[in-house]
Amino acid sequence: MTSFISSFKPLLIALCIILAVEAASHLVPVPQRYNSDLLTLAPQQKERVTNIFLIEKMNTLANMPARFLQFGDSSGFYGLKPEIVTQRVKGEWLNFGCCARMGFGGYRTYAAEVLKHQRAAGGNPTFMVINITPYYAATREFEESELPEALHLAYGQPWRYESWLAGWRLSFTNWLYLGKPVDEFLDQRTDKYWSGDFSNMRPELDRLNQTHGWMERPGPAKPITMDECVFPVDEERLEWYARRQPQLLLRRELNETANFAKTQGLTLVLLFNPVPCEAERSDSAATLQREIEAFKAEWPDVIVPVDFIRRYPPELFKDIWHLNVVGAERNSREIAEALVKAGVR
Amino acid sequence: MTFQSYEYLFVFLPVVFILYTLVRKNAFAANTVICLAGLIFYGMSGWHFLFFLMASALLDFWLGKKIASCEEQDKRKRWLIISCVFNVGMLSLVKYSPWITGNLNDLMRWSGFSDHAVLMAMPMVPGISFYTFQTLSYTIDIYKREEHPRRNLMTYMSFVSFFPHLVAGPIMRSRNLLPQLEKVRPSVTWEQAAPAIFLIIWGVFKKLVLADNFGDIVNNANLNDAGAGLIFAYAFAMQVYCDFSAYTDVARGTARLFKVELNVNFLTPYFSQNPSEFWRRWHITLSTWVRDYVYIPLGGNRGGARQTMRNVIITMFLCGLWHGAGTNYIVWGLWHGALLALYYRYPLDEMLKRKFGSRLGQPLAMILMFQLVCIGWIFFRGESWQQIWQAFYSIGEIFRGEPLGAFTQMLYMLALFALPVFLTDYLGWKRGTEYPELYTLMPTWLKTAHYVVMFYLLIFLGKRLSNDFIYFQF
Repeated sequence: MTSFISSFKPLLIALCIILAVEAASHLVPVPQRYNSDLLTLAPQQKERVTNIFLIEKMNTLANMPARFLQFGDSSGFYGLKPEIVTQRVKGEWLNFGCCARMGFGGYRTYAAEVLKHQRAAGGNPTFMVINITPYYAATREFEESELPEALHLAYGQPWRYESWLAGWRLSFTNWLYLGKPVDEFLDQRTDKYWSGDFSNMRPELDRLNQTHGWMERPGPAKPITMDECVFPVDEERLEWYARRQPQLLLRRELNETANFAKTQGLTLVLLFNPVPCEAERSDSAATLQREIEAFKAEWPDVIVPVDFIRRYPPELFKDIWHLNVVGAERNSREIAEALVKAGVR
Repeated sequence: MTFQSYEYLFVFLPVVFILYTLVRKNAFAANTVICLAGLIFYGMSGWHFLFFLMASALLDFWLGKKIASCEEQDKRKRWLIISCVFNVGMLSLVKYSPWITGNLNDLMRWSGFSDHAVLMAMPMVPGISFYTFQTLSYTIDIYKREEHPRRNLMTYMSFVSFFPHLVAGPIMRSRNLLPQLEKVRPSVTWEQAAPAIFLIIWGVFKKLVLADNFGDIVNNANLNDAGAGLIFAYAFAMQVYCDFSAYTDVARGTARLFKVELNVNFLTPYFSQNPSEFWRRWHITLSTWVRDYVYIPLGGNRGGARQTMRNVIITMFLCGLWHGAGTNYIVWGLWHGALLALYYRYPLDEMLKRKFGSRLGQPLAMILMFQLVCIGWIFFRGESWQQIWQAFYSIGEIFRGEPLGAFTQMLYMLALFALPVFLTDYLGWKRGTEYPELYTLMPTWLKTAHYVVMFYLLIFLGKRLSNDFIYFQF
């Protein structure tokens, strides 16, 4: 024992110092702010705006008790207004929709964390909503993004540390990297979806609280070309999957998500965003539709209130993935009606 | 599973260590634990990769016995050739076939012969260059009667699959590692465990805080900016050093917990004054391997100056090729070969010391050597020849008086992270060792300060979603 203490004295003292510093810093309330590229903690990399949304929604919405928790890609983020849906169905609806690059694995990890917050706040959510665009359903790359891994690191493991870099720690990091000792998100020009810096983004983020997670898709509308209408499916890979796997990737992910919802005691609601053009003409549309039908047959409790492909006029879109405000309002009304029709009141 | 992951540090390593400690007194059981741990560690990156590991290990185990049991020189040689052809063949198939077939396709297309050639796609097998060299040295040493074959397959397999050094070295010779694994080793004492744990933490710190931040500087360097090529080269020099030596630190620290001493792989290489000293300090286990199994069999320096230079160039060409399938790696190897030949003919370090005296000449020789090494790193790191050219062009712009806009900010970032590397390496160099080896000499307060500072720098600056170790691909 003496030998152990004398050998590890420096490490033990260091642990005591660290514990003391941590205890002291937890006594002082610090604002939850961003560090650079929070989820990957790579201060020299530009922040991705989607990461900011994820963190912001977790910080501002997750503790609001709600009946509906919506996850999924950005089509739902910008395309579904909770305030409109909840005019027809009871309970609060929180839109945690973010980004396709999370992948279904990312949605589940994030949902698990949101559920922890919900239950800690005394909430008892009933529905887990997954909202994706058919274009996302057609993708083959759910698993290739590193964001699910980052989410897992930030939220999905016992030694998570989402609050490690806040307050004085962030000041130090910012000072070292950027020469500015402030505990605020600094000069992160984010990515292509956002023009300008954080100063004009903050008010928008603050509004997420009032809109329950919905936001207007920023930037001007892009003209929609007919080439984009076709699902970006690599037919060769689709066939490869069909040969090797009894189910397509989409169905496997949906199955896992339905399983997840079941184990959490939630009813899964699967929604698809409208499309602006003749996506149903894509060769793979029928295959994907068949897969969804098979999924519905396998999971009769899952609510799929709207069709896989619903066409809206192109003028209601910002681009093929995202609706504008008018489109989002129309979509939200339709979703609400469909939910009521499906027995959700 | 990587060394810097929580799974490794807090689950895998403690579990294996506890299991090993429980059965330590029985060498067979202890080696079974080590062997299985190695196979699991390796298999977690892809279970099919185990096929390559097992094929190389088992064939050489069998061939080692064949070579030893045979007295006829011709037959011994035949068995050895089989070992060499199999290992080098497998290595070439995995590492070079896509590159070779790709180039052949280009050639065929260029000559108008065909534009429909087949491209071979092989998965990247982690660490194959390391373990094939290890098993190969086993059969070669048996052939040279410097080693005897092992009867116990488990002991031999624990040598091949010893997880601390399995994926990225140090490349251990069987004569160094097997005798350690064969015997029943006493359990590690607290006095021995403390520096070993420090070595592991130091390695993780060096990887996540230093190497990965240097990596971001390299990735962010816009080579269209004047001077960015210089930052690119310096930052990559630091990144590759910190990254690879960090892996070695964790490997050596881990091995020490099992009372196994792995060879030193780095010894403050950027304080070298000439190329041969650099190769005595950089990736030491690889440079001694190619020295013993390539350079000396080629004739070494036994012929005249011309033959020596030829042997050096061939050896370094192969060394470059070992690192990867790409003309840039070959050029990197040839660049070092040319430097060795140049210094052999004109010892610039000696000339500097004669001209300026030892006090000034020595640092000047080091600075010159570092610049030459960095030129090599541009070839090594360049993703394409266009990028390599851009890096050199960007360096040239400094001398043309172009405004150095982003250069200053990048230089700050580089200096921020390079300073601790320089300081710690300098302290190590002064004492002829590596910095973490000075741990036992430090007073308690300094050791404590190291732990606290490393912890907080990991929190403040460590990259959470860390890059893979660079040498995993080799």
